[in-house]
Amino acid sequence: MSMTAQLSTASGVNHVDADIKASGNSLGIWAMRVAFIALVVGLPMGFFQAAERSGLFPWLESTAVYFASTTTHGVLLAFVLTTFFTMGFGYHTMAHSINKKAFFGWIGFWVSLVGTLIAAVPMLTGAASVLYTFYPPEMAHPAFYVGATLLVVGSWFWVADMLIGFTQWKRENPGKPVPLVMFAIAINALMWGWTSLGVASEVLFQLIPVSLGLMETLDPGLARTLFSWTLHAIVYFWLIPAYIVMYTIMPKEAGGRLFSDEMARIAFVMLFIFSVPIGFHHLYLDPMQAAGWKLLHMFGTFMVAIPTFITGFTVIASLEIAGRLRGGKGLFGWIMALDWKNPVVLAGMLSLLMLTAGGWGGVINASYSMDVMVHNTQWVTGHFHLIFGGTTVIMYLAGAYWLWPKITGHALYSKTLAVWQLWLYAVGMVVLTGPWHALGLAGQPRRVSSTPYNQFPEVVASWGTYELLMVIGASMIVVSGFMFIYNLCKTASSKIAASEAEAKVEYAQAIHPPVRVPRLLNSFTFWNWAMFAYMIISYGYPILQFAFIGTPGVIPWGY
Amino acid sequence: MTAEEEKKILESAPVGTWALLAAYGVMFTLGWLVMWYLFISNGPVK
Repeated sequence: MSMTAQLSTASGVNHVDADIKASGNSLGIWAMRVAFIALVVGLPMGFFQAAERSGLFPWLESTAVYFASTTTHGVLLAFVLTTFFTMGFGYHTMAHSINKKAFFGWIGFWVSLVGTLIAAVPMLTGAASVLYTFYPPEMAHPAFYVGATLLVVGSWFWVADMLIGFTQWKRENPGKPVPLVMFAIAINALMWGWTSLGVASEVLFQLIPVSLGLMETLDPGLARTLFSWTLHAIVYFWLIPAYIVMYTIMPKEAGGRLFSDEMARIAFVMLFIFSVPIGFHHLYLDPMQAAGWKLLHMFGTFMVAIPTFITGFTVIASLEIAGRLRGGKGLFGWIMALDWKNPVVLAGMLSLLMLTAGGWGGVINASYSMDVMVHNTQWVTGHFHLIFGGTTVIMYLAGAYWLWPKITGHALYSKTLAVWQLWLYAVGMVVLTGPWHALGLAGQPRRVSSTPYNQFPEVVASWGTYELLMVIGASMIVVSGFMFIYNLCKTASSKIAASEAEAKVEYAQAIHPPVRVPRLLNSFTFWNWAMFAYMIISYGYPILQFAFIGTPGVIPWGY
Repeated sequence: MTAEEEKKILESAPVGTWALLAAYGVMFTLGWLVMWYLFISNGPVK
């Protein structure tokens, strides 16, 4: 028997009941429609901000509009796009990988959507221009906080659905490894459950009561501590779906195999454990936490580099196998042998390239003493956009190109357009964020609507070229965003049926598909307790201290 | 490609990946050091 025949018996296609498939597809595509509407509305706002703060278009300048649009841009892209994409991808995956139906899918969808619409009103009317953060004393209209809370509560229904499906499948298949794609979705759901508790406490017990006038004051130190609980792990909640596409879809699309199923599980478990209890690297320059706690969180932050490297190695090794199977020779000949015209493969390569630069910048930010150099400068904006807008969102786009023909049954309208769109998006992101890193090192602050530092004319003059590049990069991203939406809309309305290969949902198989995996790589019980212990260690005293030390002039929790 | 050739590829070490990651590791460290010395030359934060 040939190797190919042996491979086909280890297919990644799973049996799915018709009603479960219909439910997973329907929830999947509706959640993703909301996600991509948020994308296409939010991107032009980002372009406006780049143009406004560049100083190159004086007639555009408006502080009020700048901050309202920054908040809306951030909420739409960082909260709405991500949450709805992750939910939609999860519902589709659960149906197609373990043949399970969501119990609360539509409840979660509508709660999140209503929350988004409620939050949209104060954002668009300028009553919630708080930079899409939850940092008091900045205070938004209560509708913003109520809406944001509903968005998160809706996502908790999704968390419950993913964990119920995961647990049911395990009970029905004792001893069998949960399919990697579902293992990763479920651990992301569990992590989101843990990480969203921080901001939920802050919003429910501090921000909503104060914004409603039920309390006169709150402790901003406690609020910032609680927000830091959520602030870093939320990035991994966004990033893990991108990694899932890399691990479980890209190797198959590239024509190869996943290098190691077990290494992928180790990476996801490590991302879970080391992403939540490390948020103090966002508070390095805040006074309310002592240096020792910041140091502890710094070491935890560095640990995240390990699963990131494991991911880089496993995914690139999987691509190397695919390239060699396609005839690539030599140490690096496999790179050019890859199918660069496949949107998922191309997006994966571009995403990894952006991750190499963004990951390096992240280690600078995480280095306690060096963070001082770049803190609150445009460097941070550059880092965030490179990791989120670049590495993460480009894989969402690739995931959508993969999913749309499978859900709609129509062939992708134009693969060529998709390839050009992905190139334009990635180049635009590099042209946008590279100058931001440079501007940050040159001292330009972030979170300002303009930079008229006329007392230092020579410094401001040195920023000019970077400002222009920033506007060019942002415009490239906006154009590519519209190309993406156009391609999906044309696909949905196409009369050409998807080919069998395009319509089939098939996940990548490992070189050695696991028959059994260690219990620790197939269950969350131990890791859940480990997370509990780690959170007590890293956040226990730093939160409790507000009860017996407090900030002068404020009452802990405001009561 | 024969079955033997496929098997050989699937079971071979990903040397290209090792080389890429080693090169990245060197660049990563050098980049970090450049930033460190840039930071040091900036002096204390005022």
